[in-house]
Amino acid sequence: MKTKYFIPFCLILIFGIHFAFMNFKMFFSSGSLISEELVQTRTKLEKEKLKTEVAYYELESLRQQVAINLPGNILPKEYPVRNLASITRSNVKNPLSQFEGDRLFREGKAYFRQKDYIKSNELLSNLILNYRYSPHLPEAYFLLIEGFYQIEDFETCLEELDVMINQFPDNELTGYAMLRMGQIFEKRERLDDAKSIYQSVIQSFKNKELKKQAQILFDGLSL
Amino acid sequence: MKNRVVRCTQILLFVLSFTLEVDVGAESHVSLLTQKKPLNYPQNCDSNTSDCGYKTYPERKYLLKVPKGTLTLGSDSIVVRKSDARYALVKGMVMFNGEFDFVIETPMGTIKTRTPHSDLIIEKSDGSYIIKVILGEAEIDPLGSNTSIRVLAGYENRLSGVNDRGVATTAFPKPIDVSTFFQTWASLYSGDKNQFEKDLTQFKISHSRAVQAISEVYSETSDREIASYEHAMKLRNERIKKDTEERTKIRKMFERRLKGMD
Repeated sequence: MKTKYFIPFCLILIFGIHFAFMNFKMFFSSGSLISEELVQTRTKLEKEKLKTEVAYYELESLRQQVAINLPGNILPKEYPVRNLASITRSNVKNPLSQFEGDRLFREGKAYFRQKDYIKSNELLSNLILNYRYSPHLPEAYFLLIEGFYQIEDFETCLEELDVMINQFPDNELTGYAMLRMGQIFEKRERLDDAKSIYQSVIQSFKNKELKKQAQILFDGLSL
Repeated sequence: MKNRVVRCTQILLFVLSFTLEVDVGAESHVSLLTQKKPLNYPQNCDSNTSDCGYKTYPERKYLLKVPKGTLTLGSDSIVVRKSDARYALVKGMVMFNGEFDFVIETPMGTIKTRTPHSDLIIEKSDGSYIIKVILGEAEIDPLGSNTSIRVLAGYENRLSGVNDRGVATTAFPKPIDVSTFFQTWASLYSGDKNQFEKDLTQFKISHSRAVQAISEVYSETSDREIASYEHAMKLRNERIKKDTEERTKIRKMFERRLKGMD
């Protein structure tokens, strides 16, 4: 009888010890924690890769779209294009920075359209400060100036306008921004200054619409 | 007593053998292991969310069920859902099995299935996309072009970046290069062995047709090349002959003048 139960007893005992050992091992060992952390880190890394690849894909799509829209007479003459690229590319070390600049501009413009000037100003200031080689810089300055004008922060508006006039003196948007400058002077009853600004716009810019607007504002003051 | 001890030792050894950690690492799998859940971006997006990105881990595949069929993502691949029947291939490779009018988007153009049952593999390689049609038919719409390019079963074509004419480049269609193709196909395949054999037989037929057709094209092209070369040689010889005749004529004229015959 005793022999009959000996082997099952031994087996149960061994299984019990083995089970307890495995549980204790799991409980006291830090290996499981490390492997869990490893899995989490790997997942995080893969997610980052996913984000980056999607961003690169969008950038590539944009590049291809730009390529089909380039006028045919520019592309065969590779030298000027390359020449231009050699000037601009050295400063855009990371293509993602240009992508990020585009994103800031897009979002800033969207907020501007929604009349959320504080948010749009924040994003556009960030773009101007950190992405100096963005092709959207003149428009960003213009929207920023307009944003400050709308929230009636005229001092900052004039400061930004001063920078814009220095950096983009020939850009039509600078002309439009100067009209805002004239209007600020009008509000401050500096009518002579406003007049000289309007005259300067009429004389310096070729855009007919811009000239017409400057003329209307000038005539309004002369009455 | 001795037997009992031996018996117990054997049982003990048998039980302890379970505690040994045995790792069996296979060098390569014929079919990739299926990932339970792909990585998503944005977080927790699903098959109803537009612009939802899916990613597989290296050496894993994932079967994405779409309304028009199944999209299998290969190892370390990324797709972005644009709509139910439109996905963008961002990285790696995908295999699509399903109905017509399923679109795979790339920066250089789109690839659309054209037959009720289509099997195709699209792979991103060195900035280009290689389209391999196993069964059915697909259509490539290169960016900037108004004409579509058909890719028949057994053929492959390449879609590359926009050229100086403002059109995405496509290559000359050619039979699928089978040197690495079967390994790729098998790694993405998720049906049973018998089905794979059937598909393989069907592919073999269409591939041999493609090889035969393309060999005829090559033969025709080389015949044309030879004919155009022969024609050019004929023209050259005629020109040389004419020049010689003219020179002879002028020389004779001078000779006549010198002799005072004119």
